[in-house]
Amino acid sequence: MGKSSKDKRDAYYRLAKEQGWRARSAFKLLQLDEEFDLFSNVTRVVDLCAAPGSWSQVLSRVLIKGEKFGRSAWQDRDARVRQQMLGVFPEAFTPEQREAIERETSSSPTTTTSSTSETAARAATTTTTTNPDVKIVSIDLQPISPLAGITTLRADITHPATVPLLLSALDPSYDASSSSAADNTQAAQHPVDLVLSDGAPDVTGLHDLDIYVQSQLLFAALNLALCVLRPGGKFVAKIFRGRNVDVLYAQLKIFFEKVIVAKPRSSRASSVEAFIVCLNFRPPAGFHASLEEPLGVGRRLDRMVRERELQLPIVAEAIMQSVRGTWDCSVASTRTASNGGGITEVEVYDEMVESDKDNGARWIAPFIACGDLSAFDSDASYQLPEDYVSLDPVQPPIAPPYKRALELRAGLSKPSR
Amino acid sequence: MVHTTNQLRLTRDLTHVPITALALSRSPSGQLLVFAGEDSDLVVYEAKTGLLKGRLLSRTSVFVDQPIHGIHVRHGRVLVWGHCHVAILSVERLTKQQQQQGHDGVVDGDGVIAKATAPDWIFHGAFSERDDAVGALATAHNEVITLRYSSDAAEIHLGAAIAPSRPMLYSAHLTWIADDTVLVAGGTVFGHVVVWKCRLAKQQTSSTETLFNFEGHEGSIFGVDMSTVTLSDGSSARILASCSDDRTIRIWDITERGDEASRSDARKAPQVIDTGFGGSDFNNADDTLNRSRQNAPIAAAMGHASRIWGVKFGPSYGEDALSVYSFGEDATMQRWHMRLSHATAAQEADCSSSRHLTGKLSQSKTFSLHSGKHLWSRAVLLEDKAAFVATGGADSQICLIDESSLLNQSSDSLGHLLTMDTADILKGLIDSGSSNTYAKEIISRYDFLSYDHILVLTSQGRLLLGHLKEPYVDPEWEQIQVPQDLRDDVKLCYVVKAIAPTAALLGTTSGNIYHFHLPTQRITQITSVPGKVIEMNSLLSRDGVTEVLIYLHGRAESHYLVIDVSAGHVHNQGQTKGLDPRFVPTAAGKLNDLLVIGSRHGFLSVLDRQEDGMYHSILDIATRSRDTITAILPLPPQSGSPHASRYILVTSRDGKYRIYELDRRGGSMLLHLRHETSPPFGPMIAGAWFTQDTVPELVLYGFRSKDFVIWNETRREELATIECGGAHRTFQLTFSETIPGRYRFAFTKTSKLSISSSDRLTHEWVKAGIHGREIRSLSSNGRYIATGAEDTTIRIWEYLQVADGAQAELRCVAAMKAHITGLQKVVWLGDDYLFSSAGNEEFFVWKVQSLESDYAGLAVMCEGVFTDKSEDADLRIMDFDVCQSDDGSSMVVTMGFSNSVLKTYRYISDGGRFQLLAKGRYTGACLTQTRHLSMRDQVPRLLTASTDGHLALWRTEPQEGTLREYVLEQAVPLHQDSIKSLDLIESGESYQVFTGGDDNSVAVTWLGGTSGSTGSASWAFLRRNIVRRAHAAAIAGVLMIRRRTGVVGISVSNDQRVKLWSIPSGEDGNVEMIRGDCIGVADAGDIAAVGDLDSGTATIVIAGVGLEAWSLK
Repeated sequence: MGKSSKDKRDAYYRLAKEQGWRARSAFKLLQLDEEFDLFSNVTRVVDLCAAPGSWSQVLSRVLIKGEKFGRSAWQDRDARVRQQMLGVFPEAFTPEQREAIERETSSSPTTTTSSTSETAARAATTTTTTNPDVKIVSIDLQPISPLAGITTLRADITHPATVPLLLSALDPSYDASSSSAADNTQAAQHPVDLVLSDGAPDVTGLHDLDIYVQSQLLFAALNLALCVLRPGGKFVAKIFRGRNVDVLYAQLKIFFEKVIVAKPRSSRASSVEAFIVCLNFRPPAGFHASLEEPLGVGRRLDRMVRERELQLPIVAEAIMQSVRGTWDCSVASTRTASNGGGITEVEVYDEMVESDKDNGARWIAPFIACGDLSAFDSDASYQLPEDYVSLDPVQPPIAPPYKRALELRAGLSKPSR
Repeated sequence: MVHTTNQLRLTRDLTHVPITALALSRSPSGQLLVFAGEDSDLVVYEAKTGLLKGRLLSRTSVFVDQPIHGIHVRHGRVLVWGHCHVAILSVERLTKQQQQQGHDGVVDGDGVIAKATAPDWIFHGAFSERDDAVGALATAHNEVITLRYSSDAAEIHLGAAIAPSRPMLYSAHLTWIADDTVLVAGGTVFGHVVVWKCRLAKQQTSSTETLFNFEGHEGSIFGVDMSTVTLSDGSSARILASCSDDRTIRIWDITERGDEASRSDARKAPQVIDTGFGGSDFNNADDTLNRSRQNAPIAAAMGHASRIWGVKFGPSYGEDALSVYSFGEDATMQRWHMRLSHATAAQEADCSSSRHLTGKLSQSKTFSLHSGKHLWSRAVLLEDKAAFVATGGADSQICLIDESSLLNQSSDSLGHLLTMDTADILKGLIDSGSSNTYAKEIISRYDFLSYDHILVLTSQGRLLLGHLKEPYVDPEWEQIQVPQDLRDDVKLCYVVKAIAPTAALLGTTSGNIYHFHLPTQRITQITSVPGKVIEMNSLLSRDGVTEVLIYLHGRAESHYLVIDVSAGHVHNQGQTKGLDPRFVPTAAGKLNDLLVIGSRHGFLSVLDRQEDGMYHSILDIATRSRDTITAILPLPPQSGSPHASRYILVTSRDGKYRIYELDRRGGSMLLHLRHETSPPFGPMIAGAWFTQDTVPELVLYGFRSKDFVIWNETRREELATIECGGAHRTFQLTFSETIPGRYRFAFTKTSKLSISSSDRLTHEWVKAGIHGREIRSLSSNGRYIATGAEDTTIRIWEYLQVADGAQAELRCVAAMKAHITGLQKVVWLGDDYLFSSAGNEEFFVWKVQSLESDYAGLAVMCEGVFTDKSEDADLRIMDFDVCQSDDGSSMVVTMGFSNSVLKTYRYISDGGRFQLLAKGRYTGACLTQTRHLSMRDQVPRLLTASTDGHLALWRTEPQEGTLREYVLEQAVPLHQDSIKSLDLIESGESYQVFTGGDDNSVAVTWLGGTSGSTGSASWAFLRRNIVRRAHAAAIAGVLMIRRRTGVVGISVSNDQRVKLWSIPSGEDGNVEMIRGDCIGVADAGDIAAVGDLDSGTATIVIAGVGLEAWSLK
């Protein structure tokens, strides 16, 4: 696909270039932040699997340079205008927003998508003073071009040797030898507020292998997070929503009060990708992150999930109690609640979730779509103005492992033709 | 809490899922057994080499929610693993149960003797050679876990994980080298190969020793294999093969020579091995250089179009040679020829004491037996006199390739290709004389008389008869005596054409026709024609008489002969008449009494024999091809029918074959196109034949880049692939209509004659397959199921229900390749129209008909092509709906585009035209679902859904002219994110709408009729129900079926669950879950129902990565 047809097919690809982001994934983090307010009271952050560095770039611009990005950074004004015109989603707008839309439409009714997003980019950025207390460490196997105020490390997050590297990067006074010799547990003296991981393997197409490798990246990130995160801290990582993902949700729930699956509008609906947002870190009592027993292998997590389940108080819903006050599990499983929008929410009980002994306990985390409806739609095609000049990507793509094979093949075919 | 009021049960009747594991084993009674991992089931087939299709012996559900990734058979036991799970089964129980089991051949669970769970993903496992109670597993972190099986307790005990270091692996292989020692090879994510030894001790702690750490690959290692070979000097060597993301296969020497120097490097290797690719910039350059020289591969080769998933060593043959097989993402298997030798003395000077191996890998054959992408599984069985390779693909197909013939060959004559020039042939002739001028004499024309004889003509007019032997044995030659007076004329011969197994015709540029008779070896002139003979076509043979058409240079008219095969008497001679002078005949066929001739520019002419004895053209048509027509043959008639066949099959150089129906009404004659498609090879089809089976199968042959391909279109299986250099050459083929895979193919390459022969099929399809890529859309018209896939093809299937003594079966009746992008949607309208949409605004209308012929393929023809595209034609048609127009004269199609635009067209089948009726635009969000509600003013009211999670209702208002505009009537929020699936059922005055979202939820929306102020009935949203956590992942398929007890909703999700929901019809009640089940289809994209839905059993079909049919009782 050519550059310009990709611009039309993928609004965020185009926006990223227009707004100077290294990759379109920057918007995923911005939209996650908008929903979950990830960056409030955050000064110390670890960004894992960071290359090419778009998430670090967001951290750098928001936390260090103090820029603020609102929805206007990814808002499709054209869509808002049409939503207004069609009278769709009145509930999606506050009266002030509607007023603003009307103002915009009346002042420049013929604005094109490209010019609006350019102005949006400018308008979106408001700079305040830079914050000197901020500490951001980014890690990846691939080199990351330098970013203002960010410590970049080239290391493998699945490798045990990376933990002391990270700890000393976070805290220059950290002494690996003394700390790890003591009890083989690593903990940061000055813990961090937020750990991010946007890592994913090159998928093979063999679904459960891909999910396994992705979960290994996630557990490696979690392992590091457990070493450096402060209680109450946050953890955000990419996941593949496939088979047995509910087992993973259940395992993450051990360490965090809230576990939510989030899908930013900038992530395509056709992709299995989603983000797990874990809020309020609260490790189980007596738990120590350990290199000797890393997460992701062994049955430790599953044991913990089951222990936790046993500890949880079982509260019978009123509906489950029969007239005599005893529990009656055979009553209709359907519980309903009406929400404001006129939709009846129905809850169901799935015995399959509870009865799987082989693969571990399951739990389906709540889903939240983030980035509001006025955001560009990553699945839609957009019309660009005729004079639109397609920009080059901020960072060229990484060379694939088969690059040499392509070169060889090209070299071989040349003399004969 | 199982819902007690609804007794619905789901049973899986049919499954086609990727084959993720394979093993081959010989049973004590001599059966060749194929063990296959099909999702979480272990399936055992008995191979029937030489015949088609293996026999299913048993199917055992081994794991829950976990595909099988490996199978190892030893000591009568089967070790099976997937993710971190292992199980042991008994070969005897898996193969003997067939006597007791039910007709469906499915044995549940009880075949599993013991199960256990390891702490990590398992890449390989093997029982000890000596001790049948001990085994070892290799994990994804380069660990070995011992496995002890207690047969008394039927329990597996797993030991602690042992590892010298814990890099993350993408592949591992282990082999027992002593009673207590395993050798482990691990291929890391970062392109390293580590080889280490593990001594497993029962009591004291186990010990490990790292032997090698190979760097060099530039991508993850997806496959490793190890083998021990005995070299011609009596020494034995151990070698390792690796394959990678970097598209290379490398062979490494892992022989332990007691030479510390050779592996001191690995010993001294630092505790932490550098991770990441291209580690050289981390290191001292000298150090890297040293290491690379010492630990360089003994051979490396590049192959495959994409990633290589596996590599296996095959049989040794000849001197110091063996075959190596690689298995690719490109769905091909490649055979490599590996020649080993010890480094020469000079090379050894470098590395003093040890005798290092060197070698060379060369490609010997490509097997493209699977469709789509990914050969996920493979197995090799090496026996004393036989060798087999099995492949399993994402297309759910299992192939078994018999490579035993390699063992009979010296390493120098690979493949069944015999190559010769005139000198080679004459050398073998006793009476060849001493003339030394053969060098200038080249082989010019030839044809097979039969499988046993080939007639060859040289540029000097020498006629040679070859007696053909076994495929790889040189033919025996004899020279045919050409009478002195004919020699000069025979030199001018341009065409050699067999007309029977015992006779051939020769045509010269001087216009003379000669007859050659095999039994008498006599050559006689039988007639002459006025012009240069450039081709001859044998039309029909009956009772020793054959009809031949002779094409002349520069003439539209051809000459027609009826000849006595053995005597060569010309019974009848005639000429074609009435053809356009520009007509260049290239192929002809007889349909009953009519002659059909095709031209170089794609024209067809039908000729009828008239009183003057000449064939006169009565109909000329331009086909859809502008390219040469290569063959014309009649379709087999329908048995039992008094009528002769009305159909001809026409192949063309444009890569397509077409079926026409000859429609003779009174005095007029029409030729209707009924079928048009291209097989997956091409771009040139050279010819075709129908097999002599009760249900004749269609076999096509032609060229795919440098290969000649024989392809069974009915089974969609490649019968032969011969590398010949491409289409532009002289070639001849002889084939058998009864024995699949029996053929000889002769071709000219660099002035030499090559003959490739096969007397039987050396591969079989143990299990038939489906699309090799994700199926995105399904549609059923009750009789047939259509599937549209990411591989850009559409297929039509007949589903045969489970019946007494027969398993459910899916039979492909048509395959269409016209889209360039992956399919978005396929929809049936009635029995004879199918519509399809894809990216790039591709939209096609297919007319589907059955043929009155014993040939069982459906006739499918693209009747309409949507051309009203946007300027760049780069939108996706996400969804569409179609219905008959009010008056039934045309069809109404509404498309939803990725740029939020809706368009409704009238489709007129006559001419395949689209007329725009109405258009509209949503907010800018991508429209994912588009459905017609009731019709009004010739245009439908619409229900749409989009990526913003909203449902919307539309009506139209008049715009300019006859064009109408869609006006949004009502939009309501429902899902949080994209609505990925939608189905609706009309019940009286209302609709029930069932939706599945990317937000893991399913929802039910009730639509009711309202009366507007103008009195025009309209639709409005009444009520909405949503189940937020219906599945753990996105829901891409929903379906509603009406049962006596009420409406049942079915949802399928990426979490690989199917769930049944009870959907109340009226004002009251909410959606309830009935039950759920695990499915083997990953990335499920659609769901459809076949058969009788109301009562009794309905069958639902789920498709995505694979396809399953479930009956609902």
